[in-house]
Amino acid sequence: MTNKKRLKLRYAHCADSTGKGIGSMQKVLVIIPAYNEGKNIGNVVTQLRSACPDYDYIIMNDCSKDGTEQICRENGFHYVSLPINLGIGGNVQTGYRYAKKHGYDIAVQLDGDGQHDPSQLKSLITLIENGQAHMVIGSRFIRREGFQSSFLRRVGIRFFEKLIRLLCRQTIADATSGFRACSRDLIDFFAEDYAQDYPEPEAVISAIRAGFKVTEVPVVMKERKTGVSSISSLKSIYYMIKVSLAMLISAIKPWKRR
Amino acid sequence: MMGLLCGIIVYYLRKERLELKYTLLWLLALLIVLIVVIFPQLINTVAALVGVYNPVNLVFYVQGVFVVIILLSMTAIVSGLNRRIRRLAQEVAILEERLRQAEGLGLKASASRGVQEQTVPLNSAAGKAAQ
Repeated sequence: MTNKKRLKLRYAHCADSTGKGIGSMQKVLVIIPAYNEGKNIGNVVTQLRSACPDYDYIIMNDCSKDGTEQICRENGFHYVSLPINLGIGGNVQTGYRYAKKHGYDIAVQLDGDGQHDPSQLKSLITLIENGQAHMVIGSRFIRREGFQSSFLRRVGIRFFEKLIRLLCRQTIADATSGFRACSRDLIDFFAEDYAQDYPEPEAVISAIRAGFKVTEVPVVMKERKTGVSSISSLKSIYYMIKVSLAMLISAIKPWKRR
Repeated sequence: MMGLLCGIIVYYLRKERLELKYTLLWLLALLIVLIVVIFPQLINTVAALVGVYNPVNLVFYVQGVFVVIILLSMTAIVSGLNRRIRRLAQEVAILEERLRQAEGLGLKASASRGVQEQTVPLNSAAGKAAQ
């Protein structure tokens, strides 16, 4: 908790220097991580622009091999293109670093495969704008509507839920969801320190343990249209072991890591 | 055998293909071997001291421990390098985007003013983007 206070103190002068009062329009950046999403990315950006014209967006191209960068360039999308493939963790972290450098108040992750509906962004951001949370996760499992993922994956997600409850004494129903919004403090935190490989559940734990307030809101997700998920059936065992271990390790790390 | 290893390390160090920082562990291992070669009785004494029945087993054991330590330190070094490379790649990507934006602004500015020379508006645009 002292950490949170320290963060508030640290950013007090920022709020003054930009002259932003409480309740004024906050700068929102939508981070769209994309790896080989050439077929989906156009639709995602079009939907996002029509749903939320006020928000800036940036596509994080993780050195795709299918010409995603070319598609972005030809369509005049805003994008950052990594020179080497870093995986989803390093890619998303680049987005947070970008958000930090450009002074955004709120950053939202939106998958580049069209799973997440941009029109639901608002419900995530509102909670952060009101200062009710540092991180808001869009969860499939609160209202149980829309695409619910396969049985095995739900079992895995349920397992993570139990593990998080054990480690953080808090229930996060959909820790694997990549649909999440972060406040300025958390952008700063993630820019310095973000989980790698399969980062979503681990990032949630590290945020909670660093004293940030994490909540969930119900969202409806769609099944991906084309392309493949980063987690194939063969890799899923490795995924479970790696993420569980990473969560346990982040739990034994010292609480304040700055 | 050890002379050969020693020669290789010195050769690499001279050619600057190894950094001294990463060869310290190897040099330490060589130093121990050197001591043992000069005073072979040392092995027997130490083996008796720690209760190892056959002194040769102690040599193998110490060897194994050293290999594990060196491998572990290598993994730590690789992890550190990995983190640095990631940081660099992220910075490069962000700077590339900024450069692209600045160039776009610079081109537009020079086109609207009818200026052929692009360096001045480019710089001013970059300055604006920096704020």
